[in-house]
Amino acid sequence: MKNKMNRLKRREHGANAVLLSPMYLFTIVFLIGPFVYMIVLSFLTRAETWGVVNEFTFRNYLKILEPTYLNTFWESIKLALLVTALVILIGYPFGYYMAKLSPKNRGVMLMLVTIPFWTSSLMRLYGWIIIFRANGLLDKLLMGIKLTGEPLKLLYTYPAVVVGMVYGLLPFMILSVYSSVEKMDWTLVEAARDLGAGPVKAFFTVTLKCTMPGLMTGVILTFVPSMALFFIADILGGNKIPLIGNVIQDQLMKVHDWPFAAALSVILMLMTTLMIFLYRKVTGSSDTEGII
Amino acid sequence: MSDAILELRDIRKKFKDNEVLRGISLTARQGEFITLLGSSGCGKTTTLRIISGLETADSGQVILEGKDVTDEVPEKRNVNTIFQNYALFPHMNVGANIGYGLRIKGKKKPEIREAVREALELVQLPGYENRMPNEMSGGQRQRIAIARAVVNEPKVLLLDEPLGALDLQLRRQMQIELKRLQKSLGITFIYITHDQEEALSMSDRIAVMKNGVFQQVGTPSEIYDHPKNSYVASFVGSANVLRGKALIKDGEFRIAYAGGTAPVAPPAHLPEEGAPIAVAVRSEYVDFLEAGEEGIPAVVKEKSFSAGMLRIALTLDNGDEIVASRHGIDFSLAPGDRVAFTFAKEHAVIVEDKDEE
Amino acid sequence: MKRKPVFSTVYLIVGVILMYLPIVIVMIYSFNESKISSVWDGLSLKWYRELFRDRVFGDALVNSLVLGGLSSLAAAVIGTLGAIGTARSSFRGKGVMAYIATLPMLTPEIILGMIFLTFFSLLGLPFGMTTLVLSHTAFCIPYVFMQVRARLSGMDPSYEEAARDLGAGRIRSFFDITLPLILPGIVSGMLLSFAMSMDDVIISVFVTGVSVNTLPVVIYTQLKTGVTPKVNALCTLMFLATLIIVLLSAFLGRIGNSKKKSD
Repeated sequence: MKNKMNRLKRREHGANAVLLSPMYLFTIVFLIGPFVYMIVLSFLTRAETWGVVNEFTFRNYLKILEPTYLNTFWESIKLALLVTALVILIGYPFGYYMAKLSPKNRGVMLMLVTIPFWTSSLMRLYGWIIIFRANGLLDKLLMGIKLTGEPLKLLYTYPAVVVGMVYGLLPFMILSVYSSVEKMDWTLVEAARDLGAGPVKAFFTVTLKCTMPGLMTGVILTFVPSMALFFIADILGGNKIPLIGNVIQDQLMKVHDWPFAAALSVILMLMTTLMIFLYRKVTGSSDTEGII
Repeated sequence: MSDAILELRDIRKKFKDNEVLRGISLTARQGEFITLLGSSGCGKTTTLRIISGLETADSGQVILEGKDVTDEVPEKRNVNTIFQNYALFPHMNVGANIGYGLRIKGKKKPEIREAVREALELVQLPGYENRMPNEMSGGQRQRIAIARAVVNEPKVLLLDEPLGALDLQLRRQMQIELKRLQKSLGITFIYITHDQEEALSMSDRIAVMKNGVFQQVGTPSEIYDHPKNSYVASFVGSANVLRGKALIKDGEFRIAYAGGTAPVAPPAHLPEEGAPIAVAVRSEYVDFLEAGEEGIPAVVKEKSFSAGMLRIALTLDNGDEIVASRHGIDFSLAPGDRVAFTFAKEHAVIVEDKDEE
Repeated sequence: MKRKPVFSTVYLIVGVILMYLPIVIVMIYSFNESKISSVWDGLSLKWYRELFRDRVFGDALVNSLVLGGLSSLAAAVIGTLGAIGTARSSFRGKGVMAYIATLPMLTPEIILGMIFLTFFSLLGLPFGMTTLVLSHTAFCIPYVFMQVRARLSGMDPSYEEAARDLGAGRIRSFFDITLPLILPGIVSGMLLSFAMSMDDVIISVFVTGVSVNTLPVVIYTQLKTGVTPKVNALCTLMFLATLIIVLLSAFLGRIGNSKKKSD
């Protein structure tokens, strides 16, 4: 009898294994494999002309310590921090106000926010090119109202890159703040007010704490990509602002120093993982599910 | 027993380290209405799931129509379940829901349609075939769930607190209807509830469950009037349990308790004098005495009124609390009054003391 | 007592206008007769006509559609099975695997591009449609996996038990009950995957071959080198296509939600 029962159980396990195997196989071969190879690659030596030599070295990591590359990392982090701060400042109120709308308006707003999010990011960038271009829309507008006498030539400048990134990443922040504000128990705020907290104090002591998971999700979804969105810096910055993403791309596609690109990627990956670890610490979530 | 339709033999079940069932045995006859009564976590739902096959027992046997089905998968068992939340398939209309079991069996379409129509008539919702479950009220969904189960003509119908989600009035109505259905279909019902009133009014037999064990299995009157132990006594009809010592006075068997004595129905084997005994007395049988008569002294603690009964809480000299109840809305006692009470000996039965568990 | 939320309303409206500004500008300029975006020469459908005549864009569109279709389909199958298997089994390491499977969502795209490029060349795979589909499938799986897992965890297990109780076997009850109930999740995960694949620049730039170009890669190259207003026309059409997909998935989501309420 026991045997039969075990057989039933085993059959169930077998069925689950069949269901899981495609994902696990695919994940192991096409995800874990490449990641492991990246790590291996980062310790190999670059061949004289093209390719890789199987010779163990730390040189790739040491090379990151050269001022040029350290500076690139620093610039990338600075830009990512700036972008993230702006995204929080603009996106948090937006998501917050959105969640406080009537259910019908909320649905409409949600639609309005998701549509650009789904739209080709290149198309949206292109719109900014038209706006920022020398003698483009913005220049004409500003000269029209006599705010400036000559074209600002904003395209291919740092502010243009910042605007492009903030614009591209804002929906992530709005949506994650929105979803956590929407779930909030407002009686907590009422209780705080009842206990004598002013609106500002109640916001910082209760609302902000309750919506921290959403805010942190937004921060991750903003900070992680903004370290590496090379094509925005490329298109709006005209390759004048070297970001870590651009360096990796150049090392891969132009210089063909794959081991060095791998080492840069490993460092970038470590920084990302650290962010996610901090996210889990702050939100107390053991699951990454909150991240979408 | 030739008409035994379902038999459970010493069923045991553990979840991780938690022993949920510790040797459950039960025999159900054709057409019997058996209720598993107990508070949540007593193992009643697990028992039901082991009968239906949704859970497998660690040891013991489930015999259905004389066949051992202990290791059979649920779809091969001729029993059906009414789930607590009804579990009506939300993406199928009522007709498809009810006809699902027959469709699985490969019955022809016209035959299924006819059976669905009949089942809907049986639960008094004729013509509801094309409704979706989410367009119906709780009571209606309950009836659809019943129709979906009985249309398969199961030998045993398992009902997991089927009325739990309904309001009181609808509950009463559905109780009557379920009983009527059960009588007319002649199907064995295994019914789960934590409501002792529901159990007493509907069942042929009740199994009172606690900590994965049947405390007592018997007819409603056996359970109510002759509780086997203090748990059954206090859970069913919330009787007072008095823990005192055996006493024989003037040839009468009595209990010495809280500074007084009262008569007790003598059991077959009289305990020795001075032996500890537990006696169950229902609140409505607690009688107040005139001053000077022999009884147990107490102080009235409070009076409250609910569901047509006046409830009088008494504090005894040893600190215990006893409840007396009366029909009507008032009684000439006030909190703080010193009283004495006793009871007729036929209403005071000795029970096994189980409360240390 | 309650103040009218003037500030918040204005904030939201201004935000939405800014959000759509670049998109609307691109759409307006797609009807511009002039070749230079700073000059307005009057309305014209000229660029749409030219777009449809352009083989490069046509081929890239077909490639993108094939790529999006194949990878979202593969992701749907793999991700759905994975989500069901994960929900049903309880062994150690299951959580770790689920985390790894969702890793592409938490990894900067540049790193995904880099690891696919180096790994595929290590395997000696020819760069082209195969590598594109493999890499896109890899980053699309998490979207389906998360969507389906969320639906499964919101699903009452008693539905499937009821089906078993009524005589359906494991497989039958899956197809009759579980699959229809998680279908909206699968479809919206697939649509999300499709949109992500259609929009991807970074990974595609790395793993595409010389012969195969996807639409975003073509647009990216043009934006870097020099734009013809054909891109405006193309973007406008893509925007309309996206709009239809979003509306469709919102509609499906609503069906799913109304079903959920009946639990």
